[in-house]
This record gives sequence, structure tokens and C-alpha cells, in this order.
Amino acid sequence: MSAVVSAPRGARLLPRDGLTWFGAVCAALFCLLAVLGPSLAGDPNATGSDVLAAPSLTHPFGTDQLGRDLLARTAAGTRVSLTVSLAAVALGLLVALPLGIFAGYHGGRLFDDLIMRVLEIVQALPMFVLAMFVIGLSGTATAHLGPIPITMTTKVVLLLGVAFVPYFARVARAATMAETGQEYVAALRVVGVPRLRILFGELLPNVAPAMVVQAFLAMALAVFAEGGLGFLGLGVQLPQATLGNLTGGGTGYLPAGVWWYSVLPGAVMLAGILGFNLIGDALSDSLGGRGTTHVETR
Amino acid sequence: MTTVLAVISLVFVLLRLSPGSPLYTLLGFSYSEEGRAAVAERLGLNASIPEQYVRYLRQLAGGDLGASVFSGQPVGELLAQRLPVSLELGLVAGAVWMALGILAGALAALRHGSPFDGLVRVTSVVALSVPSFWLGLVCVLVFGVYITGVLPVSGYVPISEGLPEHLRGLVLPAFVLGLPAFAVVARTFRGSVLEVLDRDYVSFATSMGMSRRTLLARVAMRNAAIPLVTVMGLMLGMLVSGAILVENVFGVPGLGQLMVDSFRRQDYPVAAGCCLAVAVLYLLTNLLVDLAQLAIDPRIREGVLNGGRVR
Repeated sequence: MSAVVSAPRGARLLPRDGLTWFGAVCAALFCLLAVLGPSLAGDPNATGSDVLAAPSLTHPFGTDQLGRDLLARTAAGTRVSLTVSLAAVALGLLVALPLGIFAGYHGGRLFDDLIMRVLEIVQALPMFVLAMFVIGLSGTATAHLGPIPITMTTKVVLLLGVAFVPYFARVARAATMAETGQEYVAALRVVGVPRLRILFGELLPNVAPAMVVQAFLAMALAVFAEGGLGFLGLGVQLPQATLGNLTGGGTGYLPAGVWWYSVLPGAVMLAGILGFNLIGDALSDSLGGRGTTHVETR
Repeated sequence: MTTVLAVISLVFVLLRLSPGSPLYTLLGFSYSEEGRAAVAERLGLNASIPEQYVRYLRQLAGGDLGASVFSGQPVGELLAQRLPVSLELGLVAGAVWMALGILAGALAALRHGSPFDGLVRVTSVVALSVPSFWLGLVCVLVFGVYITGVLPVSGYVPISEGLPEHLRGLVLPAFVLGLPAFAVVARTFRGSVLEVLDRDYVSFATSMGMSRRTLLARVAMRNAAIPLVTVMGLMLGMLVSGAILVENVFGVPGLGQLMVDSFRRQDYPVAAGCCLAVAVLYLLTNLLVDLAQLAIDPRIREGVLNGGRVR
């Protein structure tokens, strides 16, 4: 959107402006807390006599009603949040990329229309409503699909992943359509390169930048959705701490002035969402991958 | 229309596929085989799935949404109670915040690169990232514990108890609910105004001696509004998801709360009715967006673009 657009592709790896640096730091802290936190902060389920203690040196995030250290619980929750989001985005990409690339390359009306219709239906029921719907109705216990147990964590991942598919597929389709029009694709065809090789060897690397941008924005969305479901009690269940159920668990104590219980885990969530959003934004400025949301070319 | 049918079918299938059943919740500890059979009979759960589906469609066609499995209250009645509350909240939040977003976006674009532009950029990305339920809790904390007595943090005051009180109760939920809409509108409008100002027709109008004021009011803003309208239509989903969480935080008895309750209790008819209401709302918004685009863009009116979406 700004002057960055004119920069050649991939010429700059380090961000130039402060805001993007801030985002990168937020995201890095979020990931560090998820990866290293649980081993450094101790057992998230160890109870203590120090009940609902305000943040101090021994308990930087305070303690909850059972005297559990909230830093340890937040770290454990951040790990859940990051794992679920990464898995959901990966799942969405894995399904949507081939779909979108095939649809874009062949430009077949039928397939195209199908994706658009599915997208329309999914949009009429917002992602969050859909997720709440399925989880609320299928219950929060572990379900069984034949011999395979489906835990709550898996359920959240599956739902978010599936909800991402139409969005990713649409972006992949649009990016592929733009690439298919380029001369090099026609040249490859003439030379007789096999179709799959064109699609996944030559087209995919050119579609990838747009998808990377979407992946970061989707990460932010996934962290939010996982948190929201947890907050409503429809996410990963206690005693496993998640950012959402910590934020929700503290609401009852807010009127008594216990601010750290809800606010601090929520602030960590905010850092993660903000970080991923800012990185996605910066990438879309330098890679130019955003432009498919309202520039529909049919 | 096909979308509504698809949503109905999807909702129906998901309802019947889910392993839980309201029977267990309803019967609770007094569960017995006879009791189960009687209740299943009353709710019509014994018929085959396709039969149930056809019956459900027929009921819907007759305007009958069924009744709550628990209270026996007709779903239509429940929706009529709850929907206006959510609609008012959504409209107030949406209107105020989107207007602010348009203003901020336009000013930021006109002063591209200024400190104000930077401020709008930072504010909007933060506003977009803040989880609504967390911000709601922070508001509850601030106005419920530290600064008491200024704004109510919970509950809902019906309009019958006086307009000022009613509006005071709306301030915090509307503030939290509309914030992401502000962010999206400000970002989109800033981007599209910048893009339009870069176009040849703007330079041309300037070189022909059109005053800056006329140019902005009649050419730039109108062209920049086209993508904005599309984005505003897409915002509905965001508002609905937001409403579910925000109504929960502030204890507003709207559609969002009804939805969460019905899902938790596996109250099929109510849950389905809520989803249907959301889908219909979405379609109506889409229709409004299309009409607004017709009004703004003469090219669409004339069919020059074959009905395709305009950049």
C-alpha cells in the first residue's frame, strides 16, 4: 500500500518500520512462551496455599483460586493455543492448496462454482458460529470415530482447519489464475512438461507468497477463535489450561478486584494475535499477496 | 434462496449427526426406558432421518420454527424477543464505529505519511487484534471496580425504563463490539482512497481545474466507496461472532446469548432457528450491499461490466 510495494520480491528480509518489528517481537515472545515456558515455569497443575495472590516476584502472573501459578498455566495455555493454531492452518493449507491450484489452472466453471457456493454458505454461518455449533452439540467429551478417539483438541483443530479451507482455496485459485495467464506457463506446456510438474513445480512457488500472507492472518484468527471457544467453555477442557479458559475462569473473580487472573492470559493472547497480524500485513505489503479479497477477476 | 436451503440442510445434518441428544439432558436423573420412548415420541425423534428432514422443511415453509425442547416456548417467539436486542446493539455499534472508521480512513489517506496517518494505522491494527471478550472484561474491571457508577457493566435495561438509562447500558457493549469494524473500515477506506487519488482521472480532473473540494467530494470519495461497501457487507459475520462473545461478557439477553445457551443444552430447534436467523441476516445484508453498489456505481447500473464486481 505504501512505497514498500515497489521493492523487488524477496529483496528485503528484515522489516524496515518499527511497527513490524514490534509485531515480530510480540509473535516471537508468544512462541517462546509456548515452546520454553512450560519447562521453565514449573507444573501448571501444582496447587499451593497462596490462593488468589497478586503478581509478585515468586508468582509473576499471580495465582488462581487453587493457588496454582498463573504464569505456568498461561505458558501451558499458550502452548495449546500455538499448537492448535499451527495444526489448523496447516490442515487448511494442505486441503485447500491442491483444490485451489487445480481450480485456478483448469478454470472449469463447475469446480469454480462449487468452491464459490461452499464459500457463500460458510460465510452465511460465520466460522466461529460453525465451530461453536459443532462443538456445542457434539459435547465436550472425547468422541470416537470408529476406533480413533477424537479429543477436544483434535475437534478444535479439525473445525478451524475445515473452516479455513474455502478461504485459502479462493486465494490459491485467484493466484493460480493470474499465474496461468503468464507466458512461461504456455511455454512449459508447449515443451511438454507434465501437468503435475507445472502445477506443483512451477506454479506452486509463485502462488506461495500469497498463501504465506494468508497463513499468518489465519494464525491470528485461529488464536482468537481458540481463545473465544475456550472462553465460552467450548474449547479444550479443564484441567488443561488454555488462554481462553483462563480468561473465562477469572471472570467470576473480577468484581473482587482480581484483575491478573483474566487480564494477563488475555494479554498474552493479544500479543500473539497482534504479532501474527502485523507480520501478515508487512508480508502482504512486500509480497503483494493480499489483493484477492475484493479484486475478484472472473 | 439456495444458500438458505443449503444452510437449513447443513444445520439439520449437523444437528442429527451430533452424538449428544436433548433426551439425556431433558430427562436427567429420572432417565428410564419408558420415559425416553415417551419423550422421543413427543419430539418426533423416532421417525427416520429423511422423514424428519421433510417434516422440518414443511414446518419451516409454514413459518413454524418449532418450539424449545426445554421451555416449550415457540422458537419464533424467542427470536422475536432476542433478535431486536442484538440488532439494536449491532446497528448502534456498527453505525457509530463505521462512521468513525470512514472519517479516520479518509483523513489518514489525505494526510498520507503524517503522524495522524501513523496513528490510524497503529490504532486500527491493534483494534483488529484485540480479542473482544478480553477487552470486554477489561471494561468490566475498569467500570465495575475502579470507576464505579459511571457506566453499567452488566445487564440490560429495556427501553421502557427510560431512554437515557437504556442508552447508557449500550455504551460499553457497543464500544467493544464495534471496534473491529472500525479497524477494518478505516484500513480499507484509507487504502482505497489512496488508490483512487493515484488514478489518471483524478490527475485529469485536477488539470482541468476542478477544485480540490469538489474533486474529493464528487470523484474520489465516490469511487473509493465501492470496495468499502463490499467490505462492510462482509463485516456482518464479524459482528455476529463478536456479539456471541460480547453479549456473554456483559450479560445482554440477545441472539448471541440465546445461541450459546441452546448449544450448551443441545436444544435442537432453538439452535437451528438461531443459525437460520443469522443466515437470513447475511443474505439481507448482501442484498443491501448489492443495492448500495448499484446506487454508487453507474457502471454497474448500466450493466457495462456484465454484472461483474468492480475494482
